[in-house]
Amino acid sequence: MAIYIGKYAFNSKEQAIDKIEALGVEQDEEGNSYPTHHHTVVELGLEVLEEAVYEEGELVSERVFGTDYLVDVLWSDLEVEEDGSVDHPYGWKSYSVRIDTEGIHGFLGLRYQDLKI
Amino acid sequence: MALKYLYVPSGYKAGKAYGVLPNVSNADLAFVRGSSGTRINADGLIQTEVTDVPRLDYTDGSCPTLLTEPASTNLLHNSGWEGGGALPTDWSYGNSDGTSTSVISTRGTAINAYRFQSDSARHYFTRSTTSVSGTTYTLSIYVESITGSNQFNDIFYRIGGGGTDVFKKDGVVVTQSETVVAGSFYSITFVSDAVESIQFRVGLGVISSVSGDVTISQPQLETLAYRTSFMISEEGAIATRSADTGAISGDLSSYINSSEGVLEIKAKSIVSNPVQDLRITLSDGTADNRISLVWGTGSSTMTIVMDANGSDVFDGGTSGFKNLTGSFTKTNMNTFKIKWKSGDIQVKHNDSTIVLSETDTFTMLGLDKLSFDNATGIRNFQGNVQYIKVYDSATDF
Repeated sequence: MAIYIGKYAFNSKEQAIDKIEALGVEQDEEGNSYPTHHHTVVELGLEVLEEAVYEEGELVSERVFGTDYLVDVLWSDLEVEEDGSVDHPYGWKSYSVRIDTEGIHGFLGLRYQDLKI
Repeated sequence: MALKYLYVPSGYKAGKAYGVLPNVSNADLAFVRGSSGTRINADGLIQTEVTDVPRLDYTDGSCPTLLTEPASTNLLHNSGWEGGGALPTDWSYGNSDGTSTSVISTRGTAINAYRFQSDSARHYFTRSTTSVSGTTYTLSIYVESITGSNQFNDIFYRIGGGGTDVFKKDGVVVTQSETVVAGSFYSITFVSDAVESIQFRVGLGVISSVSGDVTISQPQLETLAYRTSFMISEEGAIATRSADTGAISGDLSSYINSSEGVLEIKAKSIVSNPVQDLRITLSDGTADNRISLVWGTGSSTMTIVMDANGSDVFDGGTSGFKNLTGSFTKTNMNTFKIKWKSGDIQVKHNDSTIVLSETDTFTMLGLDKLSFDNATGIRNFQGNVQYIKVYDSATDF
């Protein structure tokens, strides 16, 4: 099974959810939604610009957030192009972020730098 | 009149959990997990298994179980408490009037534990995150050793995020004044009703000054209503384990008698009231012919689902399921035997018979697969399986 890791910064939570649902979602007979794919999608939420500050256990200032909504995905069995390359699913590439570190989130046992799409 | 299929957790490799009987590759269960995951090995130590490798878990003792879990993320940085010294990297002191020392964990060298000592003082670590209103969170820690009689809210607490705390010891609800013992997981579950910082406190004197000596490891914060296996996050990052999925046998049509037989399963679910049904199913690969054992969404509900030749089986063909009479502690290891034969459907729970239907008739066709789902790839079983057996005659009940 070929796996890849992608990091994405969407304009909003709503946009991210639209993209995630476009990967494939169905409803069971009780109305519960479930994905029809085997990718692992992790919503990291709004980008954190400044961490919360505590002194002596007391909150001094809350976290400060940016506007980008971050999502990490462990892609499983993406479609392989005729030339053997693999690309982001439709609609995701524009929001892809490539970084030189492992970032603020990882998938257990997997290195983003080795598997980034 | 014989045992025709047997799965007992034993041999495995990436993408496969070997079946025992029949001795053919079709008895093996396929297996998928995108990321690594941890388990407790036969020596009682935390061991990481890489992508697609099934996890044989020895948490409950000497008998291994096949562990399957949903995806989850540990929202705490450096959960293995690397960095040495009195304070692990990425963690902060709430108060530091006592001492903390990095020690070798009883769960092995994959992680560090910390020993906290305090004499009428407060000494604890903190990590914080920001809550999302409406989200369920579970914080958990493992107590490796303790001297004295400290209580839950002496060693472990959270501040912020709103909602009401449910305190648990090894998954069982207790009060926050529960006396702490070694060798147990303590967790706090709550549904946030605010967007604000949550501070996770672990150590000694997390609310007020205490005396004590406690060694703790495996801090974890998840957006689930229960604790899952430990996820070791790196310094500066949180970490996700992918779901265990795709557990399904090959073609067993030569071994399974569709018209009658017994399906026996010894297993426990990961939680007593799952968000969705958790199922193990014998089927033809579709929902048209299947027999499912269901750990239902009710706190003690167990259900049998049966469809045959595309039709519901129960209540004269008007219902596809029947709840089992009784109350079941689903997070305990239970044995269920399901007998299917037209006009004779019964269940045994730990050797006590529960009559389901002695009148409903059916024509079951093509049972040839065992899967950890509802036969169509959803409602994946999450928990621990000790064995699964299939017999080819109703007389084996």
